[in-house]
Amino acid sequence: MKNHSQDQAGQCPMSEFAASYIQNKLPDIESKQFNTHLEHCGICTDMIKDLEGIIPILERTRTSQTKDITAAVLAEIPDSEWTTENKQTSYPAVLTFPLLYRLAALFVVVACSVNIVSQLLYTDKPVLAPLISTQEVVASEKTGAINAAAAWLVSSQESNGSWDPVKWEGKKDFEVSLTGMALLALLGPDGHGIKAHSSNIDKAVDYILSGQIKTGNFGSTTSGAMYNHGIATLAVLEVYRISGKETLVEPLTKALEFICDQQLDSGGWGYRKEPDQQANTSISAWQLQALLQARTIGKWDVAPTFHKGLQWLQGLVSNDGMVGYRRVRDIPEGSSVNTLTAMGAFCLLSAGKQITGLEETNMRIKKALMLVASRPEAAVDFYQSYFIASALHAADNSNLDDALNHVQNVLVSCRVNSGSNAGTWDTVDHWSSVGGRLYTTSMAALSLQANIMPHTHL
Amino acid sequence: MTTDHHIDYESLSDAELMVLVKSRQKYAFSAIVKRHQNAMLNFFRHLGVYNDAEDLAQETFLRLFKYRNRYKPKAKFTTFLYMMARQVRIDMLRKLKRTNDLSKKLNEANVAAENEVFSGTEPDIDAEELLRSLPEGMRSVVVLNIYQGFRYQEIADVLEIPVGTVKSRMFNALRQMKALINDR
Repeated sequence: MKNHSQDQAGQCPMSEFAASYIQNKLPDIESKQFNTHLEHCGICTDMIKDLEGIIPILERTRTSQTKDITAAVLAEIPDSEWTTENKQTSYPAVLTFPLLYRLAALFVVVACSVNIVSQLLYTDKPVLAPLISTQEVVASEKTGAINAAAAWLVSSQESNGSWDPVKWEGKKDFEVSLTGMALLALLGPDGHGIKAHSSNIDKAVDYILSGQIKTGNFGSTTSGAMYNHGIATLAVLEVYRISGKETLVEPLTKALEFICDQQLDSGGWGYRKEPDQQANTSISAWQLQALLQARTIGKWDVAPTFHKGLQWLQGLVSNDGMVGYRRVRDIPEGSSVNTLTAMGAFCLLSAGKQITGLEETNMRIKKALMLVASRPEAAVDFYQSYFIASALHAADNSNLDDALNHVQNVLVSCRVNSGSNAGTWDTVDHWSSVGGRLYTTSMAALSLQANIMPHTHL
Repeated sequence: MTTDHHIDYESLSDAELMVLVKSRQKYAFSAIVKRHQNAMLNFFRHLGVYNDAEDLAQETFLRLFKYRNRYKPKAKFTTFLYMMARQVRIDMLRKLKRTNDLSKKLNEANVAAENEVFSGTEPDIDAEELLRSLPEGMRSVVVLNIYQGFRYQEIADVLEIPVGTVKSRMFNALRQMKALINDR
């Protein structure tokens, strides 16, 4: 063996693949890459030579027959730690769904794509019915989760009407958008919350309005300004839609003017309106939702901005219906094609109910949405869940109900049931470090409300 | 197949099962144990624990249940699981040390294991001899990389050491094992 120093060994990051390479455990692509790498890396070549002498000896370890320890482990856990039998059987769709749904999606896309998808999208026949379980979380479980989330939101509201992200593992810069999210969640299914939580809702609206500056922008001009503004505008629009309070018209007019003013030449929205700024799907989706809500209410004429925004968004949809971040097929590191596609789908499918010209794009995007819903990238992603749930509902197709139920079942099954955070969802996903518990709980509650709340199917 | 009426747990990923374990679903936890128990037992055996391997594996899974709410789906499940296994092993070593019986028990365990596990025609040098020649830190790296298939970053996460240390330990472990083989 050559006398490499420790530093030399550490200089080649590929050396970690050496053992797996010899053991034929590397996937084909990585194996070929490593093979090519060996042609010009002395460190890894020497390592391979050493390992070839060592690994066969290490592999001589016999895999002795071991007894199953599952029963012994379970015996150590008191029965009281487990959910009751009734509760266990209330979530089966969570568990039966993924494999069956993947099979269904594979069947649809690979085997019979054109005809089946055509039927799926344009007929009421339950094309997938034989393959997909239709069991749902008991409705009371879902309602209970929504109500528990609302109770926690009420208890965590600040006296000035805001919700403080810093207290709940989030970032101060997004206080306005998180207050907007919490407000939307508190409004509840079909706006029922406006009576039950009227004082909390009034205080939240007052807080948002108090931060409006001359330009119409809600909140400060931080890097998250357009998120803050889009989400806050959407929330106040929803309050106006339900309550009809005339005092909200003027600030909402200014807020909508600000959205129109911030539209980039391309038609989308970016972090701020500057010459070199590129629009992106994530920020644009919130502005488009607000404009869509404004159109639904019918009090403001935002048509030119709205149409231009939709045109820009359509340009990001690939032939297979997937949505990019700044351009078609642009999925930067840290972004999720699932989330981007669900965002695009929600906006375009909702808009398709109000205007014509989106039919061809929406046919593609529905296909993609179905794939996205069948292959979650993480066990829990609240942002993604919200947009998938909203988009699935906006698709207005009973054949997609199972997918929506699945998203909701997963959320219900992983909420916090006890302790001081009962009614919330733990900060376990990609965006929790930004939004904290206010974000996880508001997004999850809104996802559960998707098929019973008008503002999510405008 | 682990089933609960309509449920096929085996089709679920570790992360999906853990979501259900967090909501205290017994069959989901049972599926996790069944899926990982053999690898876990072999992990402890390769680290030189034989007689107590089952106890340590059981303790690891019990801790997994106890600390289930600390698991975040964005992290790799096996990293989370083996961090607990490592801690269980450390606790065992501390316990042995407290009774001043560490070397005696390990020797007894290893001799017993050799007789128990490696019978029949023996090669000039065997896996356990190679692994035993390594200090604990190097041995853990080799076992996690070669037997468990962990990448260096995952090993660093499990052992709570820098990636650079993992690389140098692996390099030095290979050098030591190679020297031992050449000496025979």
